[in-house]
Amino acid sequence: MTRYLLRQLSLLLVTLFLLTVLSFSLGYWFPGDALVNLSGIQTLDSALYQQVASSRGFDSNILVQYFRYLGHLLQGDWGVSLQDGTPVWNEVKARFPATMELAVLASILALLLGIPMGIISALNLGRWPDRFLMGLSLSAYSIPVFWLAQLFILVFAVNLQWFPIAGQINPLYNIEPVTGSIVLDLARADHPAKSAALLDVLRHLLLPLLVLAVMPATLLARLTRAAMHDVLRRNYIKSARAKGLTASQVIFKHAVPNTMQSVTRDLGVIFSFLITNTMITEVIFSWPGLGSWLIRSIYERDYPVMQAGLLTLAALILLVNVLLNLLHAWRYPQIRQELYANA
Amino acid sequence: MLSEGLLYCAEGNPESFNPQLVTSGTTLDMTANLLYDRLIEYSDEAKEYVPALAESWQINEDGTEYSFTLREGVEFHQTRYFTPTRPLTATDVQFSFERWLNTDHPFHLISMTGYPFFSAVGLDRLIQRIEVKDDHNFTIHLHEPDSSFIANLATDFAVILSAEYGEQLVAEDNRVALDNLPVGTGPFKFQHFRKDVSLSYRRHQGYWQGAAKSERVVFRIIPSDHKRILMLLTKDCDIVPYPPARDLDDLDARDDINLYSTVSPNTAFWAFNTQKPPFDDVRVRQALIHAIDRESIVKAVYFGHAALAQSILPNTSWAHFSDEDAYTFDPVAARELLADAGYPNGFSMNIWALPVQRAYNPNARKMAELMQSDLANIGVQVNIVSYEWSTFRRRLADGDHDSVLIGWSGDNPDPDNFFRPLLSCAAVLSGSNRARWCEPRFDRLVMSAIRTADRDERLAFYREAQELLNNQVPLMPIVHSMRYKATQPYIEGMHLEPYGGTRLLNTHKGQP
Amino acid sequence: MPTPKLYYEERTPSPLEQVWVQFRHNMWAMIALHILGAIVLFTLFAPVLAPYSPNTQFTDALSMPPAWTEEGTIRFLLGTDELGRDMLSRLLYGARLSFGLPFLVVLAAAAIGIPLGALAAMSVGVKSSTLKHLLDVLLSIPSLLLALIIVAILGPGLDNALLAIWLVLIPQFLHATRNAVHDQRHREYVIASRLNGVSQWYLLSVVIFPNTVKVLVVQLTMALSTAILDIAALGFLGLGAQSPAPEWGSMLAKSVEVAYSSPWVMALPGFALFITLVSVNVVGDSLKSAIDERIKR
Repeated sequence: MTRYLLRQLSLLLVTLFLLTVLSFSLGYWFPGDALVNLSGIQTLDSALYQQVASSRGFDSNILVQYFRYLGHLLQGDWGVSLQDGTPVWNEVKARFPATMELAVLASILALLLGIPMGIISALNLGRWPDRFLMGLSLSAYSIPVFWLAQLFILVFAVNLQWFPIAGQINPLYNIEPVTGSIVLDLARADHPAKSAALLDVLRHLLLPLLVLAVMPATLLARLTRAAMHDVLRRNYIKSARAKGLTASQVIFKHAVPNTMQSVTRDLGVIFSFLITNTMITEVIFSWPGLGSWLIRSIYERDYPVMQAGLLTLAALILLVNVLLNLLHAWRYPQIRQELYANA
Repeated sequence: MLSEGLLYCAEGNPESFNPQLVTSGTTLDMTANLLYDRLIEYSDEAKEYVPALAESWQINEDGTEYSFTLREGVEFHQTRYFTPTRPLTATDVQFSFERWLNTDHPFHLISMTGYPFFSAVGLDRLIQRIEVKDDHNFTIHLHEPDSSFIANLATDFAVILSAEYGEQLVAEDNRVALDNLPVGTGPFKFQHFRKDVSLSYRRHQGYWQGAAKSERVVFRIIPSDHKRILMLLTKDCDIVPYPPARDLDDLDARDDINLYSTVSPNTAFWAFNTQKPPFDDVRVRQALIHAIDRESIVKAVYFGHAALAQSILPNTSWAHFSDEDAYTFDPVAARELLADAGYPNGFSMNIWALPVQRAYNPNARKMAELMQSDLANIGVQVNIVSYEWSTFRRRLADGDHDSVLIGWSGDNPDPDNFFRPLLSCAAVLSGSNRARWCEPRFDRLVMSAIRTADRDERLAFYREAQELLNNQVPLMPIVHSMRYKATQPYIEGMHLEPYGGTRLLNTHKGQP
Repeated sequence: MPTPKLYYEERTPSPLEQVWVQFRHNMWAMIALHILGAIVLFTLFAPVLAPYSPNTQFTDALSMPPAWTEEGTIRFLLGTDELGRDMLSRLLYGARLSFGLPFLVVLAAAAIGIPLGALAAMSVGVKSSTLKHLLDVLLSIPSLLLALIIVAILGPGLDNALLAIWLVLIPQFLHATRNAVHDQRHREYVIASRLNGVSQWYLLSVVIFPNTVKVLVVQLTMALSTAILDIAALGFLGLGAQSPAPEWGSMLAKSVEVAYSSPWVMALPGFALFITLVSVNVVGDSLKSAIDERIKR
């Protein structure tokens, strides 16, 4: 395991390194002055410009510039927005938790919906529950998330008036944004109407979460179904049955845990999809997260913000993928064997 | 808790919290009448200028000295970043004016955008000095008489700041805070702002006109107009400014929504960047104008809720002059003019479409699309450009555009408000002259018009100025429209003024 | 008169035929295939099929509902949008932008990615598993995020969006092909052929390639559905096709303004997108299981 751990960690470091190289190069690839694109400092004051240039190594070669860039990055100096001059890192800190809040809660919802669906399908292979669920999942998988969101808004928010359609909470509750994640902010806030505020947060969360969870849930259902189908044909299931275990014991003690093994392997891919959809959902539901920020920065050609948004989201996805690999290998030691055999 | 606050869904982020620095109505709506007061105000009921922070004023015979007496006991905001020790005095007025007048003032250069309104109407060149006589008396000396001076003092831009707060910021070496963490005398005080999300104000208990009816006002930043209307329907917003024209009839018919309207002297226009070829050629400008079917714009964009404009000056103004022939829809003439100018096969250009909704233009993008197809008929290919509001304004001020769809809402009832800020040479420098059109003859006419107080003389000058505009067409006026706000039915005390930004002093939630 | 069959001939259907036989038995797959066929027809013959040009504005018929509603008129079968443009014509022309262009982009990406991937797998140097793992991890970055980076560099616009998707798809094809070929390289049948002394080209094209078809088919349909979705998503975000192009994603983005008052303007482009994606996914899915079935037998 240690060997595997080290391997994965070095892989993570290498990919993160490549990512920072890419992010640094973007400064040059974006139109305009690379120094301005990287630092966000626009000034006509040549003394100030020189100062910024030397602090970022722009009086030296590109390698020095890169390492200076890395240094600034690690110190939390991610430059300032070209739009309003606010430090990019502060904004990342406030927005990252908001994005994570959506992504994590939607993942949980997707797991809760998708895996039982897959198990039910696999147990009824070929019969109507399976056909129904798989038909549902194939069409749900194909719904563009931006269309689904609009339909939900029209039906559940505007016509039925069940849910609000923008933001994290009714701002009149006056919850001070500290972490950026409304659930955490509310939890730590000392608030006179906490339960009412919590209810309001849930109402704000539900639509975006549903919209987000549909695609990963259907993917999970299909994966679970395929994996379970595979597991159910294995000899150990037959032997478990032969030993006289009840159907539910066979399923929950033997089949499901082994099904989860191959499902865990693909969680990374699903998370990547989820992050893509989170960006779009944030735009539609005015959620103050990284995705809506990144997309707006592209319209505004706010290069330091673009770099920060891309770097953060890509790093998040890489990190989650590596963590899932590790989890997988730790939880299912036989996988490590296969991995070494491959290596 | 929820019943004591108002949710106002605004169309964009404020660029600053100090109206002196801006011209955008979005920012003025969210700051001018809520955080600040002016010396005098225009009352639409009385149709005259009335006292605000200044109790009274006198003008000398030459019209060059204005002496004011300040109201006593006006309190500034007490906030987490500033605690006032004294009420409003004449030094605060001096501080507020010199901040933009005096280029050596410690706060002058911290504005990155300059003081666009004051430089556009030339107030910075008009005022000679401000003489403080005692705590409550001061005199403003002008270089020459100006009949629009009082009107300009009553605009949203001429707000009064706290000199004491300024001293504190100089001591803290944090001068930028003057415009970001505002202190004023208005009915509400700043609490916190989260870009793209919300801006919160709290009631200023010691307001000189009596405390506001609502404890809190929260502006939610919702740039898309359809989303604001949906949020009104889902009760996520209490007050929605600038409802889109397409929804007006529907909103008006609904029992569960109140729709308020007021005449709002404004003009939507299409300005050409006259410093860029081929728009420096008057024939090209005329050709483009004749290619546009303005009637269908009124139908498709305003759904009939607007009057076709024949001049930059609104038809409600006494100086309005219309010329039926200047802006007619005539594609044949357009093609001829274009050929005359040397572009028989047309050319390609961009139209910058205002990214936010204003009373004068609820949907510039759609308007641009209509014009795109009209212009394609005379062989002109159009690329529609739009940025987020603050970027848009910055690049517009830099003159990056070929042409722009934008407009102007009157800040005061003086006709001058539609000429000098929009089309004078000074306004080219300050960036509010979107056509970047500098015509000495026009400047002379509008300057002569403000040097006299005689209305007939002024009328003659303004008529000639408008004729010049109709010939030279640096811009195409499109429509004059009404201003609307939609609210929940339980919102009481709404009052829309024709001039200036939002007022919420008496607005509050009643019984739902 | 047909010649009578003198000998009993047992004719084994070719692999392709076997797949087709399997595929044909799946009703949903056939429906999806027909829908795709129709979309291809729209793409090819939009100017003939569409009643009007996609950008003609009928100012006398703004926001007209579809013909089957009470206020609708037969002049505009699917109604008009808020600028008075015929929805049907826009949707038909939109098939070119939202289905045709992604299709071409996928072909172009495959044309580059598959040979490169095969080359990478066959050349001895590039078989280190580190590189494979590295690519595995890097490719976990979603295509839309990568496309966003490229659009951020090049600027918004349909052509840049297409270029971005193309660039994003190439490494995916490369990676899938490389892995597929690599998996086969050390199978006994390949070693046997190699011992027979066939050329590398023969080994790749005749021996290995047929066994990677399943992976490639799956990859192609997945890429097509990704490309359609991503181009529409970029259009929706205002970073892809710009107005007045009748691209479905950007039509959808515009339509949200009027979703409340004229819901059909929003529903139709989304529905077109949805049907196209379902068909592509169902066809891909069924092809995959049909091939699976054949291999199993």
